[in-house]
Amino acid sequence: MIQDLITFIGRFHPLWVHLPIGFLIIAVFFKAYVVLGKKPAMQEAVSFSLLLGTISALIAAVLGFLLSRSGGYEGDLLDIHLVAGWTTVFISAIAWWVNKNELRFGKRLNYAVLGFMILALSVTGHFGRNLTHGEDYLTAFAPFGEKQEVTKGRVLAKAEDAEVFTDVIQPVLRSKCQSCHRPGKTKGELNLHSYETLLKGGENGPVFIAADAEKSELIRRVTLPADHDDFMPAEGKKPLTEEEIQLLTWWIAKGNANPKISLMDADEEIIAWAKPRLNISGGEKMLAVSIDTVHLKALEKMGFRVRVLSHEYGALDVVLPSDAANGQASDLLKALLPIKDQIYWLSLAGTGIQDADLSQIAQFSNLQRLRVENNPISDSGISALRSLSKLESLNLNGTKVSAAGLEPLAEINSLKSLFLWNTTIEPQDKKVEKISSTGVKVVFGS
Amino acid sequence: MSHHHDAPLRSSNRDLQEIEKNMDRRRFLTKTSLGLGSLALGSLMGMEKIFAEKAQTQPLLSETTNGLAGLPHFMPKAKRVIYLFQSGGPSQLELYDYKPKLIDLHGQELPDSVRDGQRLTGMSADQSSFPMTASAFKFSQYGQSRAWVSELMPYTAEIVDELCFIKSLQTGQINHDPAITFFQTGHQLPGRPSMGAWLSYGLGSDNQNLPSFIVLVSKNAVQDQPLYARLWGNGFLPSQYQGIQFRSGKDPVLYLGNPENYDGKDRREMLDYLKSLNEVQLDTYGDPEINARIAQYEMAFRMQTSVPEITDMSREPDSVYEMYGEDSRDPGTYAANCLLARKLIEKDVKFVQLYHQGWDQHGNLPGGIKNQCQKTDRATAALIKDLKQRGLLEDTLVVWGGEFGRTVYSQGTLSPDNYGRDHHPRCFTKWMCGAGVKPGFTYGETDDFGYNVVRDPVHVHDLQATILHLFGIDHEKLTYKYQGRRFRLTDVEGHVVKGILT
Repeated sequence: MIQDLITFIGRFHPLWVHLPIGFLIIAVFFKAYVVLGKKPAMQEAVSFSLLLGTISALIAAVLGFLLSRSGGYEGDLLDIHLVAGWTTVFISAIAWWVNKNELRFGKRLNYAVLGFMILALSVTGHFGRNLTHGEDYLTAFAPFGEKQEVTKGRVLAKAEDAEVFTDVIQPVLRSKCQSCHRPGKTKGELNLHSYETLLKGGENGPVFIAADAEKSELIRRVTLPADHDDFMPAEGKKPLTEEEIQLLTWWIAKGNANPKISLMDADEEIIAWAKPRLNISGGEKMLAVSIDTVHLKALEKMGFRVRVLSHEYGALDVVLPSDAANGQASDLLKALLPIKDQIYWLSLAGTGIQDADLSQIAQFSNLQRLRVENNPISDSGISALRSLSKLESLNLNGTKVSAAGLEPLAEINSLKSLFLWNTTIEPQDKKVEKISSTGVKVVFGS
Repeated sequence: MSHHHDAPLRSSNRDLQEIEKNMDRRRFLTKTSLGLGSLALGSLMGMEKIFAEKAQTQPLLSETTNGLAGLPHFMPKAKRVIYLFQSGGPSQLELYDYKPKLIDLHGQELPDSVRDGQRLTGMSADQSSFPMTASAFKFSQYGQSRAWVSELMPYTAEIVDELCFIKSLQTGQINHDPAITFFQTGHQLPGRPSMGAWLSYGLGSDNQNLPSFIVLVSKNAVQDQPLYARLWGNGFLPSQYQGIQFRSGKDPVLYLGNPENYDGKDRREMLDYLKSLNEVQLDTYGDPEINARIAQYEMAFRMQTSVPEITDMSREPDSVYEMYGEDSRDPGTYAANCLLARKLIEKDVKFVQLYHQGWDQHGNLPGGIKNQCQKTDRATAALIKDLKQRGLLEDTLVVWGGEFGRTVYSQGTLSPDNYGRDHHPRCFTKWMCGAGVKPGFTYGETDDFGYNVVRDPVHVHDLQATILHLFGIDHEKLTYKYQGRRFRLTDVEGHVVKGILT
């Protein structure tokens, strides 16, 4: 409630800040008019605008302070803006005092303080603008300096269509190299605009040798110590990240610098890094699922322990402690249905759930880890779990599962580990061997 | 008596009213004149304590858990960790880092090119000779991963296919206290929060009835080097995040039972009243430590039921004691602590830290290390097996290791059947196991002398970054602002060791 109020009031900051800016600047103009226009009668107006400026700056600072507490702003930019803001308040107060007593303090000091005030005001405004609009807001469309180019690759239907060079490497080259090595600005006679121009190399010869990353100039240049004369990108520009270097090295060394090689042929790590960077049209991207905190709080009141695993996917880890279940597990489970697709990990160990409850759990489509050990459940209930297509780990320790009950579990392709300690199943059983042969790690007691 | 409990606190007490009246006049003056000034000054100088109550500069707490909003940063692999800290610096050369070439070089001088001008400790720097010393113990390969393990660790040898050895750890510290402090807090000087405190601050607690960071110290170890409570301290984090040390004995937490002739029925009421008094103080002074105090009373109250339940060993079958070794029947021993750690993990305690001292064999190493291994090897392996069969290794991370390694040269005279080894920070072995870590895997490599790392060095901060990574935390983003600077566990360094992740 109070937090809401703080946020509400704080949000007047961006509106209000323009008042002190206006007052303080007009004070300087009045002062100039007093001095240059020789109008001493205007001196009163200078003092009055400085006073208004100080008071409104103080209010702006307090509003800004409240806004910063409402979250969403942090880091060095905020610190600088905050300090600069309060400095402005102080200096404008001093400026008002000095201006009022100009006879005592002297004209020079008065001008100096006014100068500092304008400086502080500008610094504050500059960093405030960076906070709201981003650091490149001012320079992005400036006639001088380099323009940021689009760093996304071409639009693809699916990740499987991606080519390492065109869809992953080119966007990297575009953002990190082509401010200097592009058509119209070929530093060192090198143009990295396309595969063909890359192949041509620069004034020192070819930039890469297929299958030999170590001898490739491109790799050598980006991996030198940053203070080396030959290091690229040249001074002051953003260096390549470790992953980007890894990508280029892989392409030259293992991908034989083939311009058409598919991303799916690359190392797993590279695929994992590149995939989210692809420009894929439509549905492939995971939609962010919002987390209903009110519902989660209600679940916690019922005795569940709920923890967010991933804010991006809205993934949850839900635990029902055995003492919280109190024989009511079946009823309690119904409360999970509204979030059934958000439960990725679930533990119902020792809660007394029955076979019938498992058909409900079978609806939790995103479940990856399921712990149902030490419950009176048997084959008939467990067979319902076959529909869990993302299940990786299943704990059936201390249940009534039999070897025959393993058969439906073999249908879960994603399954990696299965726990069968304290069951009647023998490790030598043929059914166990069969499920192990599909790559499932079956664990018994030791 | 009861009217005290129900009536509004401030108006029912004349003394309090008087204080309030005085306070109001004083407050008016301070808050109007000095107050605004100090607000401005506080912001300028980063002294948030001046306005601690309102100047909540730390990130907001999450609504559902008591961790931070926005954490974890990405999908975690681990839910909990058991850190088996082997304090004193266990010798990698006697346990896991097999160096067969030393057998031929035994007794020869350590070449200067290997030592490369490294400063030694004051304990061996004055030696006239630095004879290289082969291990007195035999090594063999085990498991499908064919990992080398010495005969000192027969039980650990059985579980090598679960372990991920890191043979290339490095630290900057050569003495015990700074080196342990470095591993626990990311800095060699005392004062920063311990890793467990960072994790409970960031992720909150998964079990409101037990502390999320619990420390167990072996009573059956040679206590030649001290351990300090600050190693599991909260540093500048609020104090409810500090590690809670369980005593090494029958009664891990004292005074949990009710005194004779007291049934404890009105304790809840007493605590509620105490809480309302504390809240008056909080209102007046705004000291966040008062919040911590309230939280600690509440935790102690809940521990009255949760701790006796967890330390009740009567329900464990004999087969469990057999697995962990006979020692495990004696509360406070390393083996009993391993068993207790498993029970705490089953209750979703996030961070359980064990300490076993006595690995500091400057002299008489063969005898000393044998003794250490006998007390720890069996229980360590049993813990891993036990976690595995219960399915807990899926989301529990186990870390084994000390603060540094030991030198290849003998400290003191090298005799046919005896030698010692000094502290060695340049390379040593730790292993990790469980959630998200490659099983049956060895990372990093040292040279034939066991003196320098030749491949994939792992620094202390790298290990810390990796542990946080397994919990879904970007180590660069978990920060706490204190004295104008955003601090983090890995200070300004640390890279996640991707090579050991599954």
